[in-house]
Amino acid sequence: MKRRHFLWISGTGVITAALPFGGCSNTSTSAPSWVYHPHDLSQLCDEATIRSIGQAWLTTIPDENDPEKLLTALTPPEKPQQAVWEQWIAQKIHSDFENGKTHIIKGWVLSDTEARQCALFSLQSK
Amino acid sequence: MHTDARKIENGTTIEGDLCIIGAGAAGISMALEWIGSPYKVILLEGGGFDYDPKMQELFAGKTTGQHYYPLTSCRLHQFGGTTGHWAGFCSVFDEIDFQKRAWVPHSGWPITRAELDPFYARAHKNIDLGPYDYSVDYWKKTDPSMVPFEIDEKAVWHKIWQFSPPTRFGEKYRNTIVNARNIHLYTYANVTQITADENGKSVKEVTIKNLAGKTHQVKAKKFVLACCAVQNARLLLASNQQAKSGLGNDQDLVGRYFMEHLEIRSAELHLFKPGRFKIFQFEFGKTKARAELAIHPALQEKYGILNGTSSLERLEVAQNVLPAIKSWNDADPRKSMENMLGSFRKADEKSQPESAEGSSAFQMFTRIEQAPNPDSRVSLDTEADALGVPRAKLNWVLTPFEKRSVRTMYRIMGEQFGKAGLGRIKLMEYLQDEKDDTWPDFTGGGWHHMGTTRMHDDPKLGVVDSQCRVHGISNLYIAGSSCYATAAAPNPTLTLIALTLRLSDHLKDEVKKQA
Repeated sequence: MKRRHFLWISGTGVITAALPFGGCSNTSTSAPSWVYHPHDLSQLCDEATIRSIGQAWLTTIPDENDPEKLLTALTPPEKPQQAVWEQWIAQKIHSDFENGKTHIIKGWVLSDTEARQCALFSLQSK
Repeated sequence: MHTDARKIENGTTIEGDLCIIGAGAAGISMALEWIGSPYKVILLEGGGFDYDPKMQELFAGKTTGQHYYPLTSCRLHQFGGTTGHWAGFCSVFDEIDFQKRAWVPHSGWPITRAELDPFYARAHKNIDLGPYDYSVDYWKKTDPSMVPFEIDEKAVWHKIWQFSPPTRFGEKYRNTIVNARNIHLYTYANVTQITADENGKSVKEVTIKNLAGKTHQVKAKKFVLACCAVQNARLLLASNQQAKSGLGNDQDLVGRYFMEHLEIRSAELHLFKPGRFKIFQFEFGKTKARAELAIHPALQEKYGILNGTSSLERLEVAQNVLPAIKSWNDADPRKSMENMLGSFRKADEKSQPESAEGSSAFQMFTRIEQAPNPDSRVSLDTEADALGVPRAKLNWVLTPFEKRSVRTMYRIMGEQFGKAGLGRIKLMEYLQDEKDDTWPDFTGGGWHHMGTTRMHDDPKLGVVDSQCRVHGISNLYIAGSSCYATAAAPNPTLTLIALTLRLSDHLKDEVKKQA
């Protein structure tokens, strides 16, 4: 498995080494950190909470227990540069809230997109 | 004028034009309206001017179903009634509260909010509220620091509450009532029986008793029952000399549809940026107005939920407050009050003062109507009180509808705070499982009793008509929250006073016509 490393500077200022997804899929999958880093939610929750939200999402939507699938859902069609990609995710989260594409996961009312980010994080940090 | 009914000759017959039974917020508001009129008004109060444990004990009763406060502790049996310990929370019912809502069984009043508006404005004066203006804009003008959240008001809006000082009717209006020549106040005058004529079509007289062993009769042209929702139902049910099931109870409706405001901590609001959010703050005796978050009527309809609001309190403080259902646990209301205030004090002591930048985490506290439910009811117990009146028995019943409504309410709010980029909402554990219809042990009510003589124009569906007259009885009226068809979210006092003033105007028209 090809390993790539990313840095995630969390809302609490902690620098975390982000790892690729191991043991979840036969496919080699990796993602830039901003994809599995729920920017807004990480201002409110620690890593353990984000991980547990991610795990709960995968339990709720077992069909998405696949990093490739999650990554696809979190990637814009043209795979743009980071800023645009981040903006695309932010807009998708906003749109989720606007259109009721939300779930209550571990009590949190979350956009499906940010819940998928948590799921991806939980998979990569196994 | 004032007379202590214990001190007059046994068997006295008292006569007047209008007899008001009960001297709480409704009864006193009614009496005030008639001061200086050419009519003799008899105002009957079961207790005295001060707290009297023996009088209070007459309100004792059993509770079943959803765990509830001791009945003795909920209402004050003295002149001024429960305004003797209320907190002064007031707001208006929304237009939707009066409407028939397809998704809320038994909903719909025979009157509209617009009809009640002028009486709301008048009621404000009785309880020393500010101007009859519940817009955020108005209150923001009076205090620019009352800034609402920038959220979509077509989804979640800021509902304003106003606060009475709180007005203690017993203190404020005692002299006015006692000095009024045409108002004849009788204390220690517990009505134990309402007697109708042979046909049961009009009230002939009421019997009053006290623990001094005196029994008197009161005759009047019109009678207004204003004893609170539990006691109104109790008295009608116990007045069964002419009709076995009680007065006004041909359709077995008296006592049914008992409603409370479900009051319960429900969620946490976590904001990305801290703030002081003065618009949501409340300080007893100081705050004139504040906002709570409410769901827009269109979304209530879309999701088929009940009407409720959410207040915000700093999470650090709120987490340390004992739920009211646990602190308000003594049959003696004075002790329960002390327990509750003690819990507030301890929570304050445990918490750090709010920083200059404010807070970013808040507890969201729900107050929500419960759906009208015939199984939630007041009935008579086999046990009687010291005056021989069967005690009230309350079976408070909640349904999955209430729980789904609370859960949905916070989901909507969560979506709106997310959409606005302000923060996220986390529901408490008891709301997380959609299949779980149970309520946690900290589930409480607002000490608000409503609905037991509900208003409906159809005698088969309501105890009183749109003028608060008991169906089928020409001269018996009811004042108070027992007439509510639905409970809305706000505390009931303001609305029950407005309804009382409306009834008073109607009665004045009636007596003029009859004259």
